[in-house]
Amino acid sequence: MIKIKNFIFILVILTSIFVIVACDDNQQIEEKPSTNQQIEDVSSPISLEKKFIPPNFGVDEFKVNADDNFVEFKISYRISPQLYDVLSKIDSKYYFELKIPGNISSIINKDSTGLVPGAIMEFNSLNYIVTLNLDLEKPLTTSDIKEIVQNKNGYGLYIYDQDKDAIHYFDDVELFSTIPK
Amino acid sequence: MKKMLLATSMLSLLSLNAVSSASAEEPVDFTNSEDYTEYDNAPPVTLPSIAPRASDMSGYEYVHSSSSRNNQLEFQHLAKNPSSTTDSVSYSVAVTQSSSANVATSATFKSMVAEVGVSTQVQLGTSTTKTLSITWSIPANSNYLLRAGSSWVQASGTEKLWSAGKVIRSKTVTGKWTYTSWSDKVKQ
Repeated sequence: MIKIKNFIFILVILTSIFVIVACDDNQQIEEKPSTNQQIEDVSSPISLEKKFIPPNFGVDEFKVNADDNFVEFKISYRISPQLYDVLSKIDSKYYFELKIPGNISSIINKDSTGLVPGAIMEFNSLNYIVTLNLDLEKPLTTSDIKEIVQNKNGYGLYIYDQDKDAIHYFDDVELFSTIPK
Repeated sequence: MKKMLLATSMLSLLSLNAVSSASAEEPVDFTNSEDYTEYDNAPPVTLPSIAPRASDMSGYEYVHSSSSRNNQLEFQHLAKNPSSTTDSVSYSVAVTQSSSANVATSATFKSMVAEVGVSTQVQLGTSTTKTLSITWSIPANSNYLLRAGSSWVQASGTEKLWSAGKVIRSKTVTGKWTYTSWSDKVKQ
């Protein structure tokens, strides 16, 4: 009778150990997919180098508006279907920056707008508008505003990729907008 | 007898679970439990003594002496536009951002960059290359000389190694880094 009692006691202990070990194994199996997920997340980067060379990118209109302490630049641009596909694949992570020409930067005391995100690719549209704003510390005079609005020559346009590295430069965005389509 | 066996089984399962959960979690802190015992023969805690000490000025110092900014010409082209409409010329160049210096510590290079006031986009001893495309717009009936290149900075100074308030080593150091690309067009 004592032997049967001991046998059942050992059986219970062995069963308990088996259950605990099995649970641990399940936990390890559940953790494995997270490692696979990390491997899947690593993907090859898509380069924007040489992708904005005309006729893939063109400017239709460059507008400049100014107020007492505010300057607004609007660039209407068009892209090719090939460039649309590339920008869609990188979630439209590209940026614009305007370099202000010397005759205007001496008035507003700024030489660039800083980086502004490009328009998000959607609805298969190939025409977009980007707005770049500048808040000024010193109020502009009426003659300053007239000079800024009327003289649009010499603005350089930088385009940056998803790493914020410059990949294209247009030396005069106003003159570039006069090129026939 | 059956009740005895069942009770024994449940007890063993409970004890195993208790051991398992205790080992899976962090070590139990007994200091707040009733089982905690303070031993009279425990070693006394030695607190740091407060005493006057010598000023320990140790580390690297950078003393700036000179710097220069340079433009390197990498592309030149005479563009002719005899037509009555604006034309464009595009050119692509591989732009390498790099930085190098014969310094003992990267902190010296950071001081060097701060002194010059022109930041580098890459870490010391590394370089990255990307292709920059440039599009020049050429007005109707005109000729322009198109130029492009990269700009780099060179700086020099002295790196001093201080130990216990004394300079134990001093050497002349130079650093060089690219910071931007440039382009222009000149009417002919």
